[in-house]
Amino acid sequence: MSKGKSAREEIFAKMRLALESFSSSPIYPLPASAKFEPRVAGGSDEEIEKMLREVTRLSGHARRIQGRAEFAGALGNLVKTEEVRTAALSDHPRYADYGIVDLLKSFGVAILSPDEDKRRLEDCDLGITIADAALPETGTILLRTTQGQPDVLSLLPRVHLALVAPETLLADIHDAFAMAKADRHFVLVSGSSRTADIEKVLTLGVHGPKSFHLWICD
Amino acid sequence: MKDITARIDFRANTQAVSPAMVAATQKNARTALLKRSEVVVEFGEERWQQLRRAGRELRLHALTHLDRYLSMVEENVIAAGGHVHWARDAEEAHSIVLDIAMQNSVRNIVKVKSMVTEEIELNHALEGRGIRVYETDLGEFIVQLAGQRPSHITAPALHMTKEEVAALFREKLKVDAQPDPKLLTEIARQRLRKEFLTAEMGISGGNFLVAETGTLILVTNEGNGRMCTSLPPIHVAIVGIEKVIPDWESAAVMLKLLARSVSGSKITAYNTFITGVRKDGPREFHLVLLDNGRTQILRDEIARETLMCIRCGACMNICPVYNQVGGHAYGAVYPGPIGSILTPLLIGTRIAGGLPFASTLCGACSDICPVMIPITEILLHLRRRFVEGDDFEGSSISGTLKAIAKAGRYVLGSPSLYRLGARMGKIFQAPLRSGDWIAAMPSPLDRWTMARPFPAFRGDFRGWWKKHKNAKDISGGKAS
Repeated sequence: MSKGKSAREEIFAKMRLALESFSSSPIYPLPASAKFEPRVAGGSDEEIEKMLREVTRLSGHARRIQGRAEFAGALGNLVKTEEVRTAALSDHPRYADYGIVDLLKSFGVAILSPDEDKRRLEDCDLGITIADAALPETGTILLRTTQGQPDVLSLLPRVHLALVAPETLLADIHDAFAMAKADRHFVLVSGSSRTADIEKVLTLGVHGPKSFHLWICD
Repeated sequence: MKDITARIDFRANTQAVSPAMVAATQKNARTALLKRSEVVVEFGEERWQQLRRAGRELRLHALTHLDRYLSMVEENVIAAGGHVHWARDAEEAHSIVLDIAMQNSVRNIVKVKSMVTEEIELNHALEGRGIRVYETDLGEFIVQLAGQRPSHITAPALHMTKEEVAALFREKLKVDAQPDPKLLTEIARQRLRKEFLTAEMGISGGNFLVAETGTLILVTNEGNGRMCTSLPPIHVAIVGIEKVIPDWESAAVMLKLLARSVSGSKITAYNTFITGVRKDGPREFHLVLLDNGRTQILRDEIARETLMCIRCGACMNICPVYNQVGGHAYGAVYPGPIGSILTPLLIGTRIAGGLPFASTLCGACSDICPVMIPITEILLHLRRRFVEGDDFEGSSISGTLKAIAKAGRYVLGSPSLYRLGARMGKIFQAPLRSGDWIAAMPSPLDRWTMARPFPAFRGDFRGWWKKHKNAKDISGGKAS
């Protein structure tokens, strides 16, 4: 690509010429004045409450779940109200703790594996993810993309259920970036897919999930 | 640069603005500004100002070291298995994207809303080669079907009513569409799902590029940004060279500023972070870094801060002029106050030099701007360029107008000529005058009297002042 190379050289030459005329003395690296103090977290119960409140504000369904029995009940309820017939989940070791696969099967839900052709997830009713971190400030979860937990798992199915462990709550987005910045791909998810493009009317479920559930499981 | 040769006539464009457009523009702006104020209060006004200062500093710092940070982006993207291309202008960007499309026999492309691809009119170039391009942001999808231009950078279809959208869907998509935003959204969802799953290429812009790791940040609410960059086997991102930020701490600052400024949300629904290629993602990632006039802006000491813009649209929402005319009156891709400086900087004052005059200079735009771009200062700078010319461009006004202005300056600067002129004015107004008013004046002065009468010259202030300046009756109120 000799043409691309010369474009590069020309752009850099023009940039350097322009930068010579900068009157402010160039300081490198980034000065401290360009940084911002991250948020300080509250107590753990306070943070959990805030997380639930923010997700609810984003039209998500958020709840705290304590113990296996409550989890089984909640999952049964979700399968019924959202009319779930098929579900997909990642290969996260934590699922074993909840016994999700067996529970879903007992509710008559067929399980799809996310490593099958990802286009199949398009027909899937429910995608279950395990959040790598959660940010109570904005009601956000961090999902690191792996082969076992692909990006489309939280995108193509009609309903998205995210499971959050209380110890993964972080004070600020700074901390989330510190965790995942070396990854090739990750997403921050806050509520359902949404739009207000037609007459400013909030509409959920444009291209991604139509409903978003977040459970903080002790 | 761009083959527009007709001058943008803002005044003429405003004649075509419908009351519905004005109502929709104001409704959108009001909602966004109200929500923005609420989140700023919750964030804390003082902290918010600290955040803005940090954002401004780091954007300015990134521009001061643009060459260094762009080299870092390039190095890191290549190390992560991506390809980096450089485009001097729109044509070069078109041919880069077309080459990638041709090499991979691409027939269908899904696209994330991106201002920079509007700027270079990429869709037009691709469609000219028989490739189908689907805009997938709902507003942009509507605008594309209607064959129109977006009227707001973050709410492209805000000028259309639900009835108009329903009629458009019935006509173009041959479906039974009812004027209900939820049902219309569902139609677009069904229609575009198929395209997401079968397109051979996804095209996006980019909100930021993190130099530290070479990461592309994409911010969307609808999920289309994730679809376009996860499902097709090839992802091409076209990004202006000014979008680079130093590191991840900077990314945190900018994302906090962006969502709150756009719509008053604390965060956008989906923030996607893409570094080169990954297993299970698109097999190719191409980053096209576009100049298209940006290095020229960087050389302009007063205007260069325009490049700090993060395309949030807050300056439009608060602008009293934009709120009366909507986005289309600006006749270009970037409307509102930022458009009034960016458009003439990108395509020249000869074509867009009228836009810096489409402002009251009230300064609300600079006050709300998350990175504190001195928009009014740059508007004045470009007005001066338009009239007088500078190192970048010559004057764009006619010789006659310039001669009149010069003569005016001379007359107003000389007391005797000024007095003579005032006397002449009184004589010449006599045939036009009716009572204390002049109802109609000859061209070009009729631009005033078309709208309202002109008060006739009556008294003689200089004479009056001479008589009274020592008299007690005008200094009576003075405290001593």
